[in-house]
Amino acid sequence: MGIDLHNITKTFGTFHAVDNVNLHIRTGELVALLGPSGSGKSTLLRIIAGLERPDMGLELSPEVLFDGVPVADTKVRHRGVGFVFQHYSLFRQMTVFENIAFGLRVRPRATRPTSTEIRKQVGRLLDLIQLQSLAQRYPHQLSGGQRQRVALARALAVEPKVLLLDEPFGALDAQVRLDLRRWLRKLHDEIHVTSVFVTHDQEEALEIADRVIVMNEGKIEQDGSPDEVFHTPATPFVMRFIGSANRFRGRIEQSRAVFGELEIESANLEGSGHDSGSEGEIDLYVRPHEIELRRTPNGIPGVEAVIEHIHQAGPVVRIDLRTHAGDALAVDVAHELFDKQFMLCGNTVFAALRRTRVFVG
Amino acid sequence: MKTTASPATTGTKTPRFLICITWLFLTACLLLPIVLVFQYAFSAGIGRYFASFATSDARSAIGLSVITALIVVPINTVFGVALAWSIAKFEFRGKNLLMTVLDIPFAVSPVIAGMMLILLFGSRGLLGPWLQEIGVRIVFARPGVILATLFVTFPFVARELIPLMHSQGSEAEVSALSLGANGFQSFFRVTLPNIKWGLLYGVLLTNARAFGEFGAVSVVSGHIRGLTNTVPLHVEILFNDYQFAASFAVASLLVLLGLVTLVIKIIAESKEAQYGH
Repeated sequence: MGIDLHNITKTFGTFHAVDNVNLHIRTGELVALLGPSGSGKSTLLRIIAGLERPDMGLELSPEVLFDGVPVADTKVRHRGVGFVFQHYSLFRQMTVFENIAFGLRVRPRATRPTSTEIRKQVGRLLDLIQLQSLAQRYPHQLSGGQRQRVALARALAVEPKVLLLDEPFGALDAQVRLDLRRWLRKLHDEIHVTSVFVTHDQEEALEIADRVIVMNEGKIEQDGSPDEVFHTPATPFVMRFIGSANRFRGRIEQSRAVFGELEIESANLEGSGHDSGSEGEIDLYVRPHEIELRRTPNGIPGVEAVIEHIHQAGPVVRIDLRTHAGDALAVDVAHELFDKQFMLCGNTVFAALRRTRVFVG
Repeated sequence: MKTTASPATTGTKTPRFLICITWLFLTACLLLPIVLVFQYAFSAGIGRYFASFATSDARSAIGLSVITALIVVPINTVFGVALAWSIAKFEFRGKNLLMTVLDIPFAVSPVIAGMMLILLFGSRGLLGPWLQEIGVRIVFARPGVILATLFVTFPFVARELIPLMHSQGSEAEVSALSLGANGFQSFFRVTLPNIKWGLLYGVLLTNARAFGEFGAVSVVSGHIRGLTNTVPLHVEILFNDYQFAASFAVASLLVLLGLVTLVIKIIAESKEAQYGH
């Protein structure tokens, strides 16, 4: 099912949780709403579910459309949404089986399946979540990952047109998170239900979503594929929020961008809002893995910096440096490229910025 | 520099002395009196013990207490659940005020509660003349006893349920709604099973207090033997008449009720802990 949101604003007191958001979600997509806490992502999800009502605008009235049909007056229980909470919210006095069967049992008599059908359908869902053997257990006897899978099966039992997940892996241990999100991606590939999940974990969003919507302060900062969001961030916020980034503050002067001792031809800049001719404040961003440490300059723009700290315990070697201007600089070096000869604390090296992006400050 | 002891290290040593003091105090002030009540009750023999309940005054007092409980407990259960539900699961203006009002029966002496009823419904009270006109007696009659009991037992169910419902949040209910349940199904299938042990205890407390309430009832009942006396008032009358054995025999009923209430509380708490969160 496709979802359209038009002119969605939601304020709590003076706080703008969601600020005039417009969004189209295509049928069968797995979409991540990604942002820091307070960015309005959960509120947006709750508005889709019908748990919150968007504010009435003065000029533009908000609209939530499911397959083109307005659902503003459709109650939660008739919207056909499956909602999964961070803390599972299983019915704790019911067995796993009864939890999953709940949505079928509360149907009006006319559409309620017989108990044999219910047993069959719950059995199918138990197969799907690979918990057949735990059907008669109670939620408190399950691990967090198992509980979240039961919560998913329970939501899927009513064959929702859209699945909404609010920080579904937020309460789980790191390893379980990793397993479960891969499992969710696989599950989505099998059942293709339109799904929207909220997360503050960029890695999670980039790994499993077809499309990532980055939110900040109630607004959509960027809407694109994981690739686009990671490699071509649309705003400084996305640049900083997705992955880490070093920032240099500078100015455009004539045809050159000047960041302290670093000067780059304007024409060679990648990024937005620096049309040649315009002058003013500008920020330059470089990702830690897009910096090369060298003994000597090699023609690539760069700065000299002093190595302050080397962390070798990790998938890459993380090196903290400080430029002569006093800016901190973080650099990731692959272990096999880590050169103990000159990459030493206290040494001055040349940091070649292999890929930079600028945004008007 | 010496480091201060962490709570973990101080906690490993059981404060045996304090526990002993507590037990001594409880034995002297609670357990011993309970034993003594039963000893006195049976002091004139088992026959006399049961005969104490057979007098018409005793039967009438027990009858009135039972009727009062039968009316008060269901009303306060429904009100208490509704109130706890709205306070624990919703945000609204005036919530704190409502919580404060809920505590009034706890905060004021039951005697005052009784006197408030007299001020309201007594012959010289606010509604007294009008009630006299239409021929309804409330004060110094059974309705007064029931109203007074209703007032003093009002907070028990809500007070028991509010923290419980608050800690459980409303996600389970929201899940139920999103799965297609209506409000009725959500309440009876999800909310009620979640709170049933707390509710049971709240109901039992209400019941125990409805049977045991003395002060408020004493003010409004008028002590009309065989008509407006409840069990505690009957106990007092027997006591004042120097019928100690009979007095304690009837009193033992109230003690038993209290003990049963506590046993069920223990069961309820262990059941509650079993499901965890």
